[in-house]
Amino acid sequence: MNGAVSPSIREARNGIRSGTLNAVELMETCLDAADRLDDKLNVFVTRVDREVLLQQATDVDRRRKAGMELGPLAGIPIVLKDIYFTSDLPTTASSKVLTGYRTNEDAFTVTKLKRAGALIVGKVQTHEFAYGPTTVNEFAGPSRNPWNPDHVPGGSSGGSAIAVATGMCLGATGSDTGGSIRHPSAFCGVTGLKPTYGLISRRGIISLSWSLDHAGPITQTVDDAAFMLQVMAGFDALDPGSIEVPIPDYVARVTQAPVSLRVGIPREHFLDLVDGEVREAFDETLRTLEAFGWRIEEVSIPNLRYALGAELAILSAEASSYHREMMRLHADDVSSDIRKELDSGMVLLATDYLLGQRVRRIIAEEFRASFRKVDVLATPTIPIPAPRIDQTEVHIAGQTVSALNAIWRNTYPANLTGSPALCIPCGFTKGGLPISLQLIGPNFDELTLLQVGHRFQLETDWHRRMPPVG
Amino acid sequence: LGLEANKGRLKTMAIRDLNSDALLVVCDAVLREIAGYPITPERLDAALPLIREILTAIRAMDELDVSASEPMTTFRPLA
Repeated sequence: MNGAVSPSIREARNGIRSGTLNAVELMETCLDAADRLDDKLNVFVTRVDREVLLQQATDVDRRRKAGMELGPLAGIPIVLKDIYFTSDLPTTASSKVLTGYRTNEDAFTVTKLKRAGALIVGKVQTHEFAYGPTTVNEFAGPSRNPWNPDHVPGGSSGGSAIAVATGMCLGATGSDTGGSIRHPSAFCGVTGLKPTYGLISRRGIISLSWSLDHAGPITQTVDDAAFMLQVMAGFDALDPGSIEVPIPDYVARVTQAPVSLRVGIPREHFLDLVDGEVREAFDETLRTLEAFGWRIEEVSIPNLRYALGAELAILSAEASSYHREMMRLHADDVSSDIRKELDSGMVLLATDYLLGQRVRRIIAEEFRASFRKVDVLATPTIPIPAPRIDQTEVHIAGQTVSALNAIWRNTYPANLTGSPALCIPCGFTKGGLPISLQLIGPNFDELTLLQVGHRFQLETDWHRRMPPVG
Repeated sequence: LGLEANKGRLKTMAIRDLNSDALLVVCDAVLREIAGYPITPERLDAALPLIREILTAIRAMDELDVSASEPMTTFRPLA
């Protein structure tokens, strides 16, 4: 499989079960990719020994031959963002502060993935403490975009998206507080899903902002995301934000695209500041959706212009509260960009935090109202292609904008509202950088998003392209 | 109060920059006297542009009438 597109999770699962693909061969292919590219792209914080992984894969093949039951992800190589607790590997959040930190327990989702038979290749880089959209990390060094290593991979789940894009694994975990699953998925040309707040447990994942944090998968395809979500979703009584809802059979139903669909294009905010090539790809994508017989219509979410204030008030205050003791003891070991963020959150007024939460409710109600008129919202995931690692500003439509502000502009609203959001590749710039479509749905309707995204990927091949690196 | 400021161990922005930047002085006082989180002048200097940016975004919300909106928090019994 060297140099070729990795098998999908469905293909790998079926192959392992039927004996046409063995788990050892699959694992070797992923490990070879990691051997070739890890140093160049700065992906792993910790890798599991090759011999250990090959033994685990051998066990999967042995169980299959013996006719024993296999879990839904048996033999599937995955990586974990290094903020997910693991009983057998350190959890560092890519920070000097947590070097060698061991928790002796697995995150709730890691337990579920292990029980499903997934094989954990290692823990991968994040923007330090998941607090930033680039994975340019003062302590761990910059991670690099596989489509052009001079550019950022996006963050904070940068290592996860790079590993998926380059075939080091078939699936990865990420977390998303203002877009941290969607940014790297978009910039690396892969699929990312931020599910509804409460669908996937956050227990055992280092927090950034309790009420905005979401866990979710990063994969090559929407179909793969359905497999990962099927395992990761589910009520956890020990996560105060977890919500008990029926879990649909995403894997069986992802292929059942809706015959009719109303796709809403928000009139405000999302298209106000978009790079020309991104806009062209987005418009072309809408034409593809229309060709499916789906209706495109404008919707209004009038108070979106206040979303940034709400996001910042909540994120800054919650992050600084969560990290307060760590900062008291170890501030000198925290990278300067993160230290600035955590110091800033300490001066905010409680009344402003609550103002943010009150505005959040208004915006959430407006989202809810829009979903009475349309089934999904469509936007560019990020208004710009991946900036260079050293780039602090971008020029869009005659305006100079901070690159960091541009990256998360279209993603943080769905963190405020808790809405599920799926991002999928929908084009490339002339310079060869991926462009991504974001689909946002009503709370707990991940299934429709997956069905819509899967239908799009049946018709297009953006998600099948492999980065030139390596 | 037992706060760091009363122990006289750290320089304060309030003394150095009392007349130069109101936000700087206020942040220094809040961190030192209210939050119990005194930081060095260098750290506060570094954070100040970001604090200004965050506050600008937050104050923009003042335009919106939130009188009918309760904070977006959810409570349910823990198991």
